[in-house]
Amino acid sequence: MSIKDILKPFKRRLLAEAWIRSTVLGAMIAAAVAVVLGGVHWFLPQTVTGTGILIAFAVVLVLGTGLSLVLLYRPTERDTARRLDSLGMDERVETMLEYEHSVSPAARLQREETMTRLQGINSRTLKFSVSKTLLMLCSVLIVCATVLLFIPDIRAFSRPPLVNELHEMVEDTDLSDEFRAELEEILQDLEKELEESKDRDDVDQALDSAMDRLDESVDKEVSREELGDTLKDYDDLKELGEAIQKGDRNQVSSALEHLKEVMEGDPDRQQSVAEQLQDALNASKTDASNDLREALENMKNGLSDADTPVEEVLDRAEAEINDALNKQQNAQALGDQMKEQMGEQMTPGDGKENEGEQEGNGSDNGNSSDQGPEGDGGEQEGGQSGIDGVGDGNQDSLGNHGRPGQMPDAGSDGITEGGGVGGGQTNMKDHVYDPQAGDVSYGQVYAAYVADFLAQAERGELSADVVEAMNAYFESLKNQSNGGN
Amino acid sequence: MENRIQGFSDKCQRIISEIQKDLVGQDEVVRDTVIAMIAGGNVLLEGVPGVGKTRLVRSLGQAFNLPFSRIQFTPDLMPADVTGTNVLETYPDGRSAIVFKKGPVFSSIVLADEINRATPKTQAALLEAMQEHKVTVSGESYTLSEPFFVLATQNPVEQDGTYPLPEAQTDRFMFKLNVEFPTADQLYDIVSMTQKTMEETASAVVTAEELLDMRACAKDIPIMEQVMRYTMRLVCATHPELSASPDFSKKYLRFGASPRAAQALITAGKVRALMNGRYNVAYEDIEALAFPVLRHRVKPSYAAIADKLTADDCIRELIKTVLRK
Repeated sequence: MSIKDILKPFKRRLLAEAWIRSTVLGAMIAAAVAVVLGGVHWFLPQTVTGTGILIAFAVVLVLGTGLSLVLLYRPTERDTARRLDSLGMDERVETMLEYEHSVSPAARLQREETMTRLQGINSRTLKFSVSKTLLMLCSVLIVCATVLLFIPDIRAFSRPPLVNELHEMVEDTDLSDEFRAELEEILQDLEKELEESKDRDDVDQALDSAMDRLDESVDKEVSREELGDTLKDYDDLKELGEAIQKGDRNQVSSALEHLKEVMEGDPDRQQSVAEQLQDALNASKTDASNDLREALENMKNGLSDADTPVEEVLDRAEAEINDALNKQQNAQALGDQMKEQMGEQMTPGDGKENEGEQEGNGSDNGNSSDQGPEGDGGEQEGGQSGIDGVGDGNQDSLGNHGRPGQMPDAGSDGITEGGGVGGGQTNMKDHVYDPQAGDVSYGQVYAAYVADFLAQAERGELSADVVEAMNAYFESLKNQSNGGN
Repeated sequence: MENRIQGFSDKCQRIISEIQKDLVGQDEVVRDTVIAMIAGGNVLLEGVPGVGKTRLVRSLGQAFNLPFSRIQFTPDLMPADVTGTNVLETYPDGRSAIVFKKGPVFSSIVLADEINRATPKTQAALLEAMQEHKVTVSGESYTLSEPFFVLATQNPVEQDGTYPLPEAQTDRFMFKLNVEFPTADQLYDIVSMTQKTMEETASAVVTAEELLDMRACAKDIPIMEQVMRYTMRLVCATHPELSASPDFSKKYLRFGASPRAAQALITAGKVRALMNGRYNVAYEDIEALAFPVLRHRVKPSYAAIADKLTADDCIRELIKTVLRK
């Protein structure tokens, strides 16, 4: 048996130990990186995400472990000999290795004696040894990284409640990364401005500015109107454009199905569709980083590539478009909710807090009605929605029920048209969109409002004039309710 | 050769056992003396009178079956009393001739008792013989027979009228061994034993040829490079003038060991390894032998003396300081 054969089981044992030590060192390096990133994440949340930190930890762990194994801890025969000698072998094994090829009688005797001794030693006698300092340091760093990652954001305790609430809303909503980063930035600036504000005017100004920026961001993010409109100018993409404009997923699906039928077995047509898509994208002013635009670009690229089956391209496109539409709708809804929250904090009569009502802005993608219910009673003159537009002093109470009608779906449903007090017209159809509960029928919304009104009337909270006016109003809506359902 | 190497340890044990028949206690002194003798070195024994130094030498002579001579060093001892001298000899037929009369140094084992009592000139005569294994008288050199082994003693207490050996001369002793005063139990055994007989009872275990053969076997023992380098680092660490020396040396040592110390450590280390049944030199051998090899070669500074540090304390600290790898 050769010296190498004799040392093999011990070397394997040391290799296992090397893996453990490398993993500990790798984990320590990874934890250090995670702590640094965690610090960055803590101070600048929009730059590094928690998932990013976890991925970085995993990558550094793997790389660190591999590199330290190869460069530091991989045991050589010399290392194995040294460890064996430390078991009371009195430098026998190292000497044996050094004099491996010596032919002197003493060296030969030394080899034989050492090998005989080694054969009587179990490899498990070599205990795994990992530096306690390294282990401790690794544990401390991992704990620090975990704390930085998973403890509640302690800055939240020092934040104004409004900003905190808005942060939570942003965190809880599925949004594109760019839009989320923009919102975080807006909120950070808002937090800073609120902290620096000296009086009520400063607060109002800060909120006003944040709402403006929010509007801009939402407009930039919600590109379906513009993109859909652009697509409609092209024969083959008209149906898809309409579907996107409406944000109707079923229609998107059917438009893509139709496109598939048209292009199937006709490469020229496929190429033509791809070119139309390219032209439409060139004509569009939507930002290149927009998810919906990216989905359409991917679709165009897929269609341009004759090797990729049309079905596969369109399936992928459908998924990407729907995902983008979903995020845009979320962005829109979230933007409205945030504005609503901020509006509530503004000084009554500031003019901004009830922006939706005053402007009756049915043009704002049909979703401005959410501002109505929350408005201060008596302020609204342009009650914009058929429901919310009843704002004539009873808005506070009605406003509590205004939420189901807050976010009409992408302009197709619940598009409101502003009007005078109680004179709002609605073309709501069958459903309205509720971000919490999903679609609910108009009838349900109507019934809820009526029930609330009756309850208030019964408690005597409303004057006789108002009760009479409301009765007339609900009567006028009753027909629509029946017809709508 | 392999059989001789394998039988080395047994022979050593037998030699030590025989010597221990005549000497109570002093195990370490006996073992180290045997190591030095096999390694071809000389030993300086330091101890108070009556602790068995002469008896040890006698027993050694018997165990190795070698001729033994004793020289009592006194201030009036002349070099010729050690080495021998040319004398005019008249033969029975009336002719006369100058012939060389060999001194007591012409023996295999020489006990130089109280070496520090003789003048430096006389000490030098012996020391030349120790180093060169030859004697020069009137321009003519006489080679000493092998093996040749000097065991010198000196009394550490009584310093009046003595001529302490200079450092250059103590360096020629491979080991300096401290013979401690026996314990009460050992003293009891010594007295009991000497009441029966004053004669040494050790019997011959090896011959001169076998001793030389053992020396040759030991030289063949492998020593790995790391241990060699450690030995060199340890010896260098005794030199306060070297920049790489530990701070301890710079503070507590006046000067360090010569290259002979490194040679002695390696040579004696091989013998010690074989004596312990091991076929390679270990760090443990070097560290154990560092005390007898270095204690007369390093000179503690005044700071060490002020801090009550002996040469052995300094060596112990150096062993702790110098890293093995």
